[in-house]
Amino acid sequence: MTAIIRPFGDTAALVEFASDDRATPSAMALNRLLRAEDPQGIVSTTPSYDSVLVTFDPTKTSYSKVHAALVKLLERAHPEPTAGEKLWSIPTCFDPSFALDCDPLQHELSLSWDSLVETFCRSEYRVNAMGFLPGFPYLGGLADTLHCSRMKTPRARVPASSVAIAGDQAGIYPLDSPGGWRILARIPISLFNPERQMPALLAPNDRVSFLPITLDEFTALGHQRDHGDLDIRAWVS
Amino acid sequence: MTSGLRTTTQDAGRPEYTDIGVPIGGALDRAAMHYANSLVGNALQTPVLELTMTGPRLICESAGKVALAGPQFAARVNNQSVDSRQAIELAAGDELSFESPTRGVRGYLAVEGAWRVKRWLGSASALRIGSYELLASAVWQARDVLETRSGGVIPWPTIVLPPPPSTSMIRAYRGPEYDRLKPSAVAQLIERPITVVAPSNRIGLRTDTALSLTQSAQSKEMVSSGVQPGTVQVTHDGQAIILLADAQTIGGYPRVLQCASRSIDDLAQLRVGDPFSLTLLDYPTH
Repeated sequence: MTAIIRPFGDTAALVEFASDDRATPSAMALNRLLRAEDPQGIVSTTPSYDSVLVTFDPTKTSYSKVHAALVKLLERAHPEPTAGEKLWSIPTCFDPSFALDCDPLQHELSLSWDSLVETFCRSEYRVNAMGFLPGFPYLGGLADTLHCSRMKTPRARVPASSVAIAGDQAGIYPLDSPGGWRILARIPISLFNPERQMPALLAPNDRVSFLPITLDEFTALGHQRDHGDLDIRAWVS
Repeated sequence: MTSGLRTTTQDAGRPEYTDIGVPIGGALDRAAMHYANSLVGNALQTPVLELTMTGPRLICESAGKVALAGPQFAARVNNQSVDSRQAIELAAGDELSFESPTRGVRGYLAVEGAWRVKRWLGSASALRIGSYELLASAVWQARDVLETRSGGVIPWPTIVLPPPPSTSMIRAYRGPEYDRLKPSAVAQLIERPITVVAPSNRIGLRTDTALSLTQSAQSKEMVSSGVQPGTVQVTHDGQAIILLADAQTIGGYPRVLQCASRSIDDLAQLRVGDPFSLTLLDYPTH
């Protein structure tokens, strides 16, 4: 596997993979191994697209020891497409009351709303990284015909659970937040809940598909959620 | 009794959750946190109160030991100055208040014993994301009560030296995208006076810089990659931003420098308007 390891300050190593379509699965595989084997003195591991940032405690280990541990782990960090990943089918409502960028998107992409929604839901996405906000998934796999610009002036408040696209990526806002991505739908659950044991619903390398639902179905799922009888285990396989 | 400008509970933060986008967080000046805890006999990463500029006024409900660290912060007991370089013994009913520092930003108050406070993802640290307080009970309000339990803490076995006086000379290594700085930008960034500008906070320090990046850096968007406290990023309009503990976990701006771990505590004490300079360190050869 082609990867470069180099120091990033005096308490971190950055592992960068050659940018090809194996880079993200390789980064995720290395991250999984690092978390499973937990080499001495490692403080944090942050995977993203084609890299893994590894920070360490200099009182417990050293850069050269971390470097050696990474070289060994890289020999075994083979991307296995099904290892530890989940496939989510998330009910998603594309009603114009949630699709804040319904009009500008149809105009920019020269597509009717129906064919835009159909194209969006036909793709399967993969969590390439999480960041920007706690629990925000950067989703790769957006169809070429849906690549679009960001807003010139970001919105001051994007509602939590909004589904959005920008450039060649999709994402879901876990919390109310300022944001410049184009909003096309909303999901009836919260992606990030600090009260949960694992606060983020999605994890790096998970696969995601969007299942279109009507506004009535969205409202019904919202009632179930508020009464605590929404079972999301049926959404994952 | 009063909360001060912003008084929060902080500890070593949540480094295990950067993979789901949770900032590391925790005390910004780690050396000060460790030293204050060592003075009262606590484990070094026991939670502390992080005071910001103006400290709170506190009433001691039962006798115990506290200690204060941070540049120029001084404690008063019942309105009398006390020696803040050692642990302070308080009796029930004593009132503890703080003299605002003439320089520096953050002071750390350790309280003897194990803290009975709410934790989230293994940490007692307050974390603010936009307008959300993800652990609201860690932000101190008037009339909040802190309970500690003695005997629950295993003291740190080694002697902790007092943190050196904070300095405005920040040492830094080359970052992964250092090569994207034009030579003129290196000349503006290294060994030159730089000023902290608003808005600066626990997420990061903004600076009065306007740096030029190489052509390729302007034309090609960088793929987002991991950042850490002390990472110096350059935004599209050329401003250098130094990330602190509550910053996001990945970023798409060129990471031109990484501040040395020992300089990060000094960054925590810089105010808006304060000058500082960056000195470039070489990586040891391996």
